[in-house]
Amino acid sequence: MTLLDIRSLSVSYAGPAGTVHAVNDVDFTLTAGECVGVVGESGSGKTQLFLAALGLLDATASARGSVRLGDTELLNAPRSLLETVRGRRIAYVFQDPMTALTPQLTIGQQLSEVLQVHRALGEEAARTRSLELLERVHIGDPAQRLRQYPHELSGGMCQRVTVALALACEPQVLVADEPTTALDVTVQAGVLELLRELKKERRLAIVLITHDFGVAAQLCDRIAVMYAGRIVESAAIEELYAAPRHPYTRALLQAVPRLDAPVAEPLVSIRGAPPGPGETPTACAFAPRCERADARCLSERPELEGAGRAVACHHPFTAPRSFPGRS
Amino acid sequence: MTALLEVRDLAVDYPVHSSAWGRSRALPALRGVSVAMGEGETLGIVGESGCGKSTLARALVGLVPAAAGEIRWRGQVLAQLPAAQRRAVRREIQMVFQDPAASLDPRMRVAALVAEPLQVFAPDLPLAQRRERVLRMLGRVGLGAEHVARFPHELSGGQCQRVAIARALVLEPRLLVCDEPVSSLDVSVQAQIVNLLRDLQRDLGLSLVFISHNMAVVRQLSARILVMYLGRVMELGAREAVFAGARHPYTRALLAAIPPPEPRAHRPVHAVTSGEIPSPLDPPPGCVFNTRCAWVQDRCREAVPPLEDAATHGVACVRWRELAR
Repeated sequence: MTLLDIRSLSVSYAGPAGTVHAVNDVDFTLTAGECVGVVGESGSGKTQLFLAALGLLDATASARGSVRLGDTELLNAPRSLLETVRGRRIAYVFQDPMTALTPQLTIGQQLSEVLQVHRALGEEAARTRSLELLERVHIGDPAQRLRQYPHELSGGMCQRVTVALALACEPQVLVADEPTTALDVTVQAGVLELLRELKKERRLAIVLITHDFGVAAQLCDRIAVMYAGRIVESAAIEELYAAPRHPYTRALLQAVPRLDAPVAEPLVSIRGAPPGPGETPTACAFAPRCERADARCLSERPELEGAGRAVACHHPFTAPRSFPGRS
Repeated sequence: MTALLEVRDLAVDYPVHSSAWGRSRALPALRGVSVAMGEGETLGIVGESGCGKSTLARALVGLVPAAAGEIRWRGQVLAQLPAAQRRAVRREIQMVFQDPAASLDPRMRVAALVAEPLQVFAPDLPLAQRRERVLRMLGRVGLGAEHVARFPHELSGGQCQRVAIARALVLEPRLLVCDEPVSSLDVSVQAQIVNLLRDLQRDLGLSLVFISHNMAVVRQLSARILVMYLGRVMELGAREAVFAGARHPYTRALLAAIPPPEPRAHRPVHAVTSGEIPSPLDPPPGCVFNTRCAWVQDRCREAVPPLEDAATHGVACVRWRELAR
């Protein structure tokens, strides 16, 4: 069953130097219990896509297309409607837990507020439920934590609190935007484990926005790769890692430094840099950096083609990839 | 042979204002760090936030003073050198910072940014020669004539980091200290900069201190690895020894926590270590890792373990021999 259905979503900003297109014509679906990774580099539009879906864009942005959560259309929906949906049916976990929490309120006040507003719980019931939620995200000594302020907690602990906040109203969909990027690797492992648990036990559908293929590999069933505001490839996770079809996906996977790579060889790099925000490529956006590009790639934009296993490329790879250090 | 750089029992404190009356206490950022480097050697420093890796880098280039211990350059204690000589040494040790957007003056053009160190250290150099050296250095880091007159905001992150590297190398230093030089870059660009640093290190015979929280990146660039935690050295050894046969429980936990790059390739990542890093203001007594270590015993809380077997593969853990079996 499709929970979240995004169709032809575009996001643009009116800037002093003309319109900036952050997201172009993106389709995206998510079913119950599924985790889809949205992988891309900075500026690829991965965050803008989901901020738009939840109506969280800046006032200077405009979004077109359709975002359906079940039967409800969310895109450009009135605020009153969004407020009944956000938090209750779809929740967002932000990258930086320290700025996502209010510094002036205790953890307990922040959790209770959500529960009292959305679930109409009384003070005592909200407190009991808050304790349960903190236990659910494996925070030790929850009664003590409820009395503390965000600055008294470590980064990893704060991120667990934001996950607890997101889970407070038992949403069907969780959008986790780089949830472990601000955390140390030993703490990251714990947060990933928690998300994996929630997915399995609660059949929570998760969108994992990340730049890190290693993190995505830990959790996702499917991956959509974004470049310059478009999805350039999407596939089931094993397929994507074993046989990436888009030259960008393949190059990006090869560029990830590995612990098992031979140190005598240089890392595989991609020449050039992604297009800047003002540049709106009319052809394939990756063509200037692509080793397979020809005249067609520089003049005609490839459409995202294929169901389930989709790629937007005139010259996609067909063979599995080779692994550095393993022949 | 005297080492190029030798750090002996280095300690660095940061003053922290903890009371309303401005009385400050010391945050021990670095304790008992000893490490030596020869000409042309590469040393990678790894550890999580707050482990002291950046503090060590800053101490090496003289940006923070030592509270105890010493740093020797070609056998001479830096802090005891007369100012003029110390200045001459500073020229030989240069640094590349994490965020090029913050470390480059936004109002200076690329050519001026790279020429500035020459103006400071070689003011008598004729303009034509200065220009020649700047252009040569820019070419060496992969920037062309079209970049010379640009401002940092007109460059990509990777290009900015190339400028920062050119700026550090234009004085022809013998030691380059890189503090998280690729952490703010996208993966596709990160590899370019890692490869550039590797080429420069080899071609110029530079000594390189490379700091990163990313173990895989450090592994690419460093023949020796220093693992730090809460201001102390946990392990110090050759790359192969540390990555293939980590001795310290912390190093093992750190390596085990890195997600493998493929789905279900080997193992799901498990949190090998529980809990979180204690406050550096209040490090636990004994081994600083004892609050999170799966192998902790009573004696680990009693005394700070010395760095054993320091000559070959140093490890600061009283139980490493048992764990190695």
